[in-house]
Amino acid sequence: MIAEAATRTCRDIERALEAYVDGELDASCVLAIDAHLGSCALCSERVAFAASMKRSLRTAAHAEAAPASLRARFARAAEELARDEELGAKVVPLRPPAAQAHASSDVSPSERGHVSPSERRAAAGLEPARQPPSWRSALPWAAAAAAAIAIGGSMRTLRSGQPGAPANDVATASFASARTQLLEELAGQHARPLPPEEIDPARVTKVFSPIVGVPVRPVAFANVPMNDPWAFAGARLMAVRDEAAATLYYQNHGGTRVTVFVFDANRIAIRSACCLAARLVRVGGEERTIHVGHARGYPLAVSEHDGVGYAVSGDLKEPELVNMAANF
Amino acid sequence: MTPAPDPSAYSAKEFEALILGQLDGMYAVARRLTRDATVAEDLVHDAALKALKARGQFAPGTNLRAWMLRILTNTFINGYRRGGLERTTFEGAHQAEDPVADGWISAASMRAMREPEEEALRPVLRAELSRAVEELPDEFRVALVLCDVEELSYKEIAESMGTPIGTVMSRIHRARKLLQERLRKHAVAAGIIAEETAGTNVVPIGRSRKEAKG
Ligand SMILES: [Zn+2]
Repeated sequence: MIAEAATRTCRDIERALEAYVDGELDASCVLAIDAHLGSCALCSERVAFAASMKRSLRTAAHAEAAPASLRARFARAAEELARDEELGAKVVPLRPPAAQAHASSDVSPSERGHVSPSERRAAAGLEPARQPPSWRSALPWAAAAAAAIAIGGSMRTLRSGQPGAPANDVATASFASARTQLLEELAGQHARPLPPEEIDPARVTKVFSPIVGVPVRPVAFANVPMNDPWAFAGARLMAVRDEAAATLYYQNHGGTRVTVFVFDANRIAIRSACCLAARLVRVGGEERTIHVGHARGYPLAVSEHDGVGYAVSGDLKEPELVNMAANF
Repeated sequence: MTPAPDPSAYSAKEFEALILGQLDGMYAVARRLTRDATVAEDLVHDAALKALKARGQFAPGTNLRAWMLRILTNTFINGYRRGGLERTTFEGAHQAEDPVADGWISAASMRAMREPEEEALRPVLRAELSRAVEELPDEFRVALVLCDVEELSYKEIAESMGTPIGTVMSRIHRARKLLQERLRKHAVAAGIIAEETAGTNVVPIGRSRKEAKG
């Protein structure tokens, strides 16, 4: 009977022995197990055997170091990435040097490498106390900000997600929700726009096309009331995945805003990357398919023309945006 | 005067150096998760590059190794899992009952299967162990490899796999039971131990007492 009671204990602590070998037990449990092991040859042998299995697996796995080819391959990819980021940060000023000279030295978001949400709001003139509500009426400021906020800085901010996000969100952010993340980024750029880097519509094509990789032209709007047209309010680059997209800001007299993203449709596959619904729209005699989605409370409409992708988000209802996108 | 955590605190170059320091460990895990050395290289490369790009989300001062392994695990689960056919190697591995209830090992046999003075299995069984690990169902293998190869805590493994700790513990337990049975059979075949029947010297492991008596 004594033997049977002992073996029952041995069965009961089977799982605990495993946790013991894995170092997962707290101190008091460890003491209890140690006490049992001191008087039980069977459990001692189980522990020794489990530890041997664990150690053998670890040793075998670590016998091979990462091959030199892997190290070299990763180093190459990392170098490419670093070069891209450096290029973005240093070599691509969107304003001519003269304009940069106006940039006051205390504008430092790009030096710190990221722009906090409050800085964004302040920079965009959205703080309640700040006066100029429109970029068009704030040209000196816009020029300074444009020179100060290098593309690289904003790319880094956007690429690495929200500054406050907990580290363990990485996995989910990178994999599971990659689909919705793209929409989120675009809607986020409309919701909290970063300041424009170019405010002259005549220069947009020249400045942005080589970076985006497709012709970036200010868009034309159809069915706009004559007395309240959409006015160009500036443009900037945005990183979408590892590609660049141009962001064009428009605003009407009523203060309603629309943000148009122009990108290389072959490199940024928004339509396939996001779960978008398709809408058929008749334009002229032609039927066009517009894809729509929603993020952060904003509708988004996506269209494509000769390899140039357009996505538009705005303070409007979905049908209006769909109609807008169909006419780009 | 350490600066507050900043998403751009690490340059690509700085973080690359940190990742390079983790590459051996990642490769060790990848090699056990995948069956093929080339695939393991691809997996590590993909995961390392993802980590580099997502470095802004790494909180300085937290466990870089666990963070990297989380990315590796997710990359594996989302893109490198093997097809369904291969996952049935261990018949009944997913059943609620212990699949290896019949395979029990006496203390004497366990002693014979490991090196006398070391914390290691006999060499002939080490090779079999590696093969057996490769054939574990994915869920079991990921949990066991993170636990044994990289010695992550149950909690860290649960975070990596996105499952409750209880699930992690039961997967590790089942994985070890399956491996033990493979090793036992191999040891019998190799003449290291004799085939034992229930009730010879000690109460069998993983078998109900009623059965053992009968
Ligand atoms: Zn015992």
